[in-house]
Amino acid sequence: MATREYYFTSMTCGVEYATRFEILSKDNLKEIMPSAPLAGSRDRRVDRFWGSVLLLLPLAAFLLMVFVVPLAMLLKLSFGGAGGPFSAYSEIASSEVYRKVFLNTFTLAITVASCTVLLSYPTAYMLSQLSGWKRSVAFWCLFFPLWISVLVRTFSWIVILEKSGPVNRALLGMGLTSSPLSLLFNSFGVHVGMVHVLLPYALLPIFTSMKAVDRRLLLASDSLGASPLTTFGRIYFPLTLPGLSTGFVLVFLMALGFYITPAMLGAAQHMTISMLIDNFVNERLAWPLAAAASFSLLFVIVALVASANRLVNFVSAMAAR
Amino acid sequence: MSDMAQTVSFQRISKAYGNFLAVRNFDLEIKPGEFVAFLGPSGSGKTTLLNMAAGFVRPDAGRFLIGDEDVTDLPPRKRSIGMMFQSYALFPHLNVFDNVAYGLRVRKRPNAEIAQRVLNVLKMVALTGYEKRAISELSGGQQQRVALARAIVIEPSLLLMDEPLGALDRQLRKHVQLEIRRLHRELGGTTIYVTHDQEEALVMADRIGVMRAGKIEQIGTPTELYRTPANTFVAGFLGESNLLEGQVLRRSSDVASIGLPSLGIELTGRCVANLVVGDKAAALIRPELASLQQTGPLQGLITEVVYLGEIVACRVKLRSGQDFWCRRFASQDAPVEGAETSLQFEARDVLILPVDHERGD
Repeated sequence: MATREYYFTSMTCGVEYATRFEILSKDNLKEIMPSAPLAGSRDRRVDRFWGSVLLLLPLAAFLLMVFVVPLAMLLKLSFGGAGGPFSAYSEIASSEVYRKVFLNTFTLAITVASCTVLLSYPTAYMLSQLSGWKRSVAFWCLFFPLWISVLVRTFSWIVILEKSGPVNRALLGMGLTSSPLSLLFNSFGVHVGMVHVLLPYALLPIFTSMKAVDRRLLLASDSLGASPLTTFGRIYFPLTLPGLSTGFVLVFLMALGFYITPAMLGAAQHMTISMLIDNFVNERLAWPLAAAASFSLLFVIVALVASANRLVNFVSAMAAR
Repeated sequence: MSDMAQTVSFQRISKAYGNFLAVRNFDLEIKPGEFVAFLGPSGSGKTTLLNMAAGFVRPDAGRFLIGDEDVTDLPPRKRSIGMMFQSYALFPHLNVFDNVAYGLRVRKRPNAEIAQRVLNVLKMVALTGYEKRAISELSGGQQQRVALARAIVIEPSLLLMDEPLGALDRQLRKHVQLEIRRLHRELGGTTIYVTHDQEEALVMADRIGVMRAGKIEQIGTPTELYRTPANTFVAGFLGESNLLEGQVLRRSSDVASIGLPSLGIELTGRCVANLVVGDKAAALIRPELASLQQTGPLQGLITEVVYLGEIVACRVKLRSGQDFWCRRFASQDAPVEGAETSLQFEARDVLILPVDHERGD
């Protein structure tokens, strides 16, 4: 009935009118009016394009000024080494020390992301089971620390983890250790600090993917004879894997560029790329080296993110077997 | 599957949600291979019953048996049931084959057997060639058939269906109803089907239990329920009905007469209910059993004539102001709107029923 009414509308007001307001889909229109001119839909597409451009313009201009232009300048700088255009890159590639810093940064980012995701998954599950005010309170507790500066949080960890701090005193008091453990200025301290700061970034995507899982799928699996463990492995885990991988990649990328926490809680021999770049700029005034290091990092990240998607698809497919 | 068919019994089962008594003291035995539909408005407890049969919900009291085994305390995975959900609940990350194979894989059947049984059942539901399709690529009707295939491939002792046709359009629904009936006759498994659609229940079920407020109002074959509903609620829920209310004037073994003060007449009809003289009662006359004539016990004015394809429905306004619907074949002479008419019917087509207005919803 409705279609017929709009057929007349389009006859009188022009087909454009109907298509513009999405009253008729294109297929629909062809069906009732085989020779209907579809010029209207083209105009509309053009309008929509310019509309999008207009809406995106302010941000695009901003990004151009503060991101794209500096990036281009940085790229130019990286080829401006004293010993020829590729001298900065070859210095980074050939140095044993710099290679170690890169490796160190990536292993740190991977282990931090793994720890964060492992901690987030069960927490996100618990959160997804809560409802109403309980969930609000839980989220509030979780995000409250985000309002405090990273610097303050990192300093707090120094207070908590130092030789005479509460953790060591508790361990000594319980007789679990005879001398205070060194929890700071090593890999352990860096992990604690970074996982703490990055936890929400893994938790949110995982939580979102868990909320999206239809509870009836789990009931269906149960009714088909699957144990809770099988249901988890074959249904729940594969369905929440995209959230998990998003969380992992997000934390991994942020961890790669972390500066304050590893600098304050880590050991000097555990240098990361961001500390190295800082060193290039502030100590050695070697701008081309700093720029080349930044671009090397950027390049590896792009390559990794591109391959991460494939990996997730592969793991999903394996879980289905 | 036919040799797997089991007796299924609900024994004095009750379930409450807070203050709301969803199912009260429910007793029913379903014969092996029988197709029983629970029909009722929402909130009548039919879905709760199904969920208790599946093991998703634990009854507060009573027992549920499949065969001779008391499965009241068993989780769904240990019950040998096939469940078809209203939303189908197909696994979105698995293709058609893997969805159907799921129950067999979980049971650790050999791969060759899985492949053979899955292909077999896909053939039954006419989805051969769709094995590798993603669920999102299927139409609603195809998804529905995958869900059915997934439920029956494990050869369950009991097949449960929760309004599985709700999401399909009318044309497809009619087709699928007949499909499910054919499959059930082929496979012969015990089946419980929950619906609020009387047509689905009438087409598919061996027996229909009409539910209200956690209890069965009446259970019987479609014919029994249609011809001899126990009260006005059942009569109103199954099929179209004209109900004329009055008071019992005379009562003999299987006949009763009621007086209809608003029309100033007396109607006599069959009566099997427990009614005595003076009780409130209603005369049920199905629309297809009344005909428009020159003379008859009821007079009125034709106010509406509706063509329903092969049938014409006429609304007749009686002198009391009440509407009376009657139906006749469209191939007969067409009635004219606005004409005076009389309604004629046989005494054996009148059924005297207890009045039961309070509906469960």
